[in-house]
Amino acid sequence: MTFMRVHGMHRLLALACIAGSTTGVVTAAEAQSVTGNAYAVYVNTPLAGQTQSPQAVLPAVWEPNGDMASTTADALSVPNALSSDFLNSMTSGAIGSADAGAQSVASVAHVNILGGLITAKEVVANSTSSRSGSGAASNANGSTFEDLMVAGVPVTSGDALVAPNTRMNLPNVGYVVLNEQKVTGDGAMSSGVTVNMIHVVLQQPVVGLLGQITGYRQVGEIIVGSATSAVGS
Amino acid sequence: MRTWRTLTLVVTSVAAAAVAWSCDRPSNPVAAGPERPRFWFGECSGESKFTGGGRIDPTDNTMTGKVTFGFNIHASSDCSQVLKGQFEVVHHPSQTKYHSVSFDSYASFNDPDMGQCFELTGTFRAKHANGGWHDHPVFIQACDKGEPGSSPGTGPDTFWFATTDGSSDLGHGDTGPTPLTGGNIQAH
Repeated sequence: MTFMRVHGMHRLLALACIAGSTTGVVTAAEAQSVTGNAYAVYVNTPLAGQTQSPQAVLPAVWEPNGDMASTTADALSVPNALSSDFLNSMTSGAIGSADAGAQSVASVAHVNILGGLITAKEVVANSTSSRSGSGAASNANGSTFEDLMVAGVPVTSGDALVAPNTRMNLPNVGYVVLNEQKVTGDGAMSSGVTVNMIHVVLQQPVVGLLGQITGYRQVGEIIVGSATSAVGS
Repeated sequence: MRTWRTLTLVVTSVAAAAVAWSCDRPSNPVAAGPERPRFWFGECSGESKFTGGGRIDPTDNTMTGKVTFGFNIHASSDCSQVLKGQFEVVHHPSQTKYHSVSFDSYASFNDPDMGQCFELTGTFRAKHANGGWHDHPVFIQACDKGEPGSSPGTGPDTFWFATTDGSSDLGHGDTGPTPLTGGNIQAH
């Protein structure tokens, strides 16, 4: 009887060990992951729509391999929203034994948004994420605007940077965020960044009972040049 | 007399062959600088897998201005062949895009100044703005020298793209080895 009880406990311990080691394997696999996404244009307004295009999405990657995706378009116009040409989207990533990384690039030339309200000779969105033994980090280095004008005002001359998350009001339209950066992750085990070079938010006023403006609601958005990369879980 | 003539002819031929052989080879292949493609010497001391992407802004060569790129390359462990690979390179001032078609040679090496590097030659198809696709022979070198953003301004990784058929038309040429403005090269 005692022998059977001990034997049964050994079986339980063995099962627990197998379960524990399996959980460990899953955790390790989840900890090493890379994602990437890049697209040139996205339009969602009451008058026009365009899915993220041309869009490159990084295929699933497993250690110790890498992969990439790229797509291009000669020109893309969305009536009542924008025109552009020479659109390119690329993303790549890899998981090594000691480190992991992903990087994405989206570029669009001759951008004209909302009938000339915003124009640029070219925008480049560049996001990079990496993870090594010293931690995880992301940046948007290499993201620039060439000859950007907003509401008739020159913002960049030649190819230049604009400070991250620069917001400019667009009277009777809404506002635009330039070099919009959204950071994710804890900086130790994971890190990611999405950079949207031009993010136009279309708004309509919310009118109160007495005719006063009580606020604004979003009715649409336009994004030009978007690059996302992330590492970790 | 006849034996003496034959002997003289053999010695002369051997000497001429020795001179020709020595002129045909660099004096010290191992000491060749980074400007010389390593695949000439069959070098394979580095990694066989590299992945990267980002941007360079070359200024000093025949291909200048914004260049963006993305790639994934997997060569055999002896560098004898590329098992899997894909490249996209975009030269923005000329609106020229390149995409890999085939690979001819591959080499990898670990250099104390340049980091973990690979070089390759191959054929890429090119398209200028709205024009048609056509092929070009190309050379690429990329080096992983550290984590992205670990050096101020540019780098530490480098990327080098060149068309090698001598065409000087817009969108063709040589970027030279250039530190990354953004992005990353990863040896893995």
